[in-house]
Amino acid sequence: MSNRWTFWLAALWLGVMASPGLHAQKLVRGPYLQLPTQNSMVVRWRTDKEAKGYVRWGLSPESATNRVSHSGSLTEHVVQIRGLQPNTRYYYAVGTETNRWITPVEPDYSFITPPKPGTSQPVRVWAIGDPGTASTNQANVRNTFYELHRQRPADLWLMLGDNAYSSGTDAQYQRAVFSVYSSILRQSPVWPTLGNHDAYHADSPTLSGPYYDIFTLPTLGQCGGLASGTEAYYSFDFANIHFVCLDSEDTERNRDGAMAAWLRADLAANTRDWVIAFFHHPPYTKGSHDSDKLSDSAGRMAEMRENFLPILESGGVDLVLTGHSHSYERSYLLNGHYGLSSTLQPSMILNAGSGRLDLDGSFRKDGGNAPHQGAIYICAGSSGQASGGRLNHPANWLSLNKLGSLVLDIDGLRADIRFMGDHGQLRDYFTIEKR
Amino acid sequence: MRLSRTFWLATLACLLARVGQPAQAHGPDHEVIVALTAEIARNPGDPERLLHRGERYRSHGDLASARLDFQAALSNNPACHPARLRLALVARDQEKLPESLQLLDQTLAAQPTNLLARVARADVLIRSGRPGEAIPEYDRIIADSPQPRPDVFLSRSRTLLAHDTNAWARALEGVEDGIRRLGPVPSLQLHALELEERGGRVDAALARIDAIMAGMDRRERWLARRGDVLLAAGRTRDARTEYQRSLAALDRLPERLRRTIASEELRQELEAKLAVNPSGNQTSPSR
Repeated sequence: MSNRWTFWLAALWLGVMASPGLHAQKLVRGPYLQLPTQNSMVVRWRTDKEAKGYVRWGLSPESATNRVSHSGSLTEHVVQIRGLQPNTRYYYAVGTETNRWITPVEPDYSFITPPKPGTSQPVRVWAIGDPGTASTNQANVRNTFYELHRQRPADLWLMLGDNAYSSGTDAQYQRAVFSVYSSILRQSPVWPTLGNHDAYHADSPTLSGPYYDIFTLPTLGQCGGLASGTEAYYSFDFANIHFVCLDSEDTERNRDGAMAAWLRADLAANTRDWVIAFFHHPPYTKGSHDSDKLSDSAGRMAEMRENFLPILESGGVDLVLTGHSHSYERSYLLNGHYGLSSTLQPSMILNAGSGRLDLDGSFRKDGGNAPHQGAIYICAGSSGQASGGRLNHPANWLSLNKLGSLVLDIDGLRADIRFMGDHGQLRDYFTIEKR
Repeated sequence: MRLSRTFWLATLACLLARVGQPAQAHGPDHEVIVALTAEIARNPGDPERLLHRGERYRSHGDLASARLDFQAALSNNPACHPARLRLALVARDQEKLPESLQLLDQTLAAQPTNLLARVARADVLIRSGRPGEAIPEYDRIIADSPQPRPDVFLSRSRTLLAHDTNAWARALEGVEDGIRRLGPVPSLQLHALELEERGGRVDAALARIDAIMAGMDRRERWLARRGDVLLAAGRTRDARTEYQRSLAALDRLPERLRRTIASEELRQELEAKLAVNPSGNQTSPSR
């Protein structure tokens, strides 16, 4: 073979090897957003083959030319973008060295950084409980939220546990979370808590398993609040709201345990106007679970009620969001109800009204996170299925065996909460106003 | 008489039918258990499915059914360490501590780095009244965990003190290790503060409080705590200064935080302490 032929064959070979198509990594998960701060955002995604992951970003699709990467060659890409401005929209694309950008730079791929902590501005939060059925029900609940809030999407969203049935495997997360919520995942950071079904394949003592592999959660108070030292429970601030996530499934629920000690300190340090706590096991439910039965869920509901509600109420909690029962149950404005339903006293119901402005008025509370001014407890575990139950817990003002999800609109010292059904129905609503 | 015999036969038939059914769980778990039961009936020796069903029972507190499944999984496959570990957890929860310990020892002999088994072993040893033997288990858990939880450091320290009330310095060393590894976690910092106070190390306790306060917007309670530490050490004048700083911090709070019940209670508490501890000579320490 002549030198000339050898040269051209070698050139062809090199050309083929270098072509993006041959080694192209395929996007198989994400992108999704984690650990938002006023100056940074973590972008995560998964490719089918190992590669070095890059994110490019900027203030407009045209100017998204800043680049940042992680080190090494991976399939699970985690890249933190730093140097961002608070309350600012950024456009981004993810890619790899070999086939460059595997998502487009367009408005759909953008996020807004959180405002400076303490800022008072309109905030929208979406909360879904026990969604992970990968069913039409789950899709309908999601579609209702998407369609009704297209003009003003959520700033952040909460997953109240049992995110992927039936055992929280990676494949189930793919089916019930990443395939279902791909659109919101790439625009709004998600904050999850561990449910019992997630815990079949995840373990809080060792922080291992799909749940802990998938989510990047704060351990050092980097998003506000105090360092918890573990991803199992954490807190964060968004605008004038302090969020607290507890692990009711797989962390010690003693009142002298580390989670309780951290919670006390965290709430004592809080200066935000609102405190919203979320965890999986509801303190007051008569749905598909019964919070009066000590054998139900191995006593977790009772332990959270007896050991953690006093701390939360001392810390001025306003809203406590849970799932587990596949129903919607919303309490009265309550304080000090830590026992079985039979121990509920009228004095524990600080306001027996609906909290509806057009009916008997909003719930009114003192500002400043004053302790024991009353909290609303919501079990919203019907974002993927509705499983009935007696639905007659006396602490609850409303109990529904209906599909849906929660939308929280908080602006300054007013919070409007809606429970939206699976076909656009407004199933419940109420308002809390602080003075 | 005839009716009565029919009644009893029907009752017996119902009871027998109930025995063959899976125990009742809740919602989707119940459905999963029913599905698993059908699969187990088709493949009676499948340890995976027995393990899966047993775990569902365990999570719902049906320990007796869980035990039967884990025992069956283990008898079908004696090398099934997850079944042995879960059986040990069931035995622990049923307060059958010697059995639990034996099963955990077997699990750890086969899988020395199994953290769940080691955490459970430490727990069982404490429940068995053998805290001294639990301490090396915690050491090992911390050494083997890529991200040990704050609870483990706390448990080790508390176990150490339960075993030897004078071991506060060693306990503190362990908690320090936790703070180094996990960062300024309040659950560990507060425990370290308790240990410093227990050891009578006033300045070190004050430094701990300063470290906790450093990242906080609200300092009034921590300044009050500084005052309490100083008062207990007999440094009345310094304690008064801290109480006054705490009052000043309260005054600097925005009105919405200053006029809450909690803030007003703290103010009353501080004013009462200032009134009963007038400025003057230092007193002898309270302990």
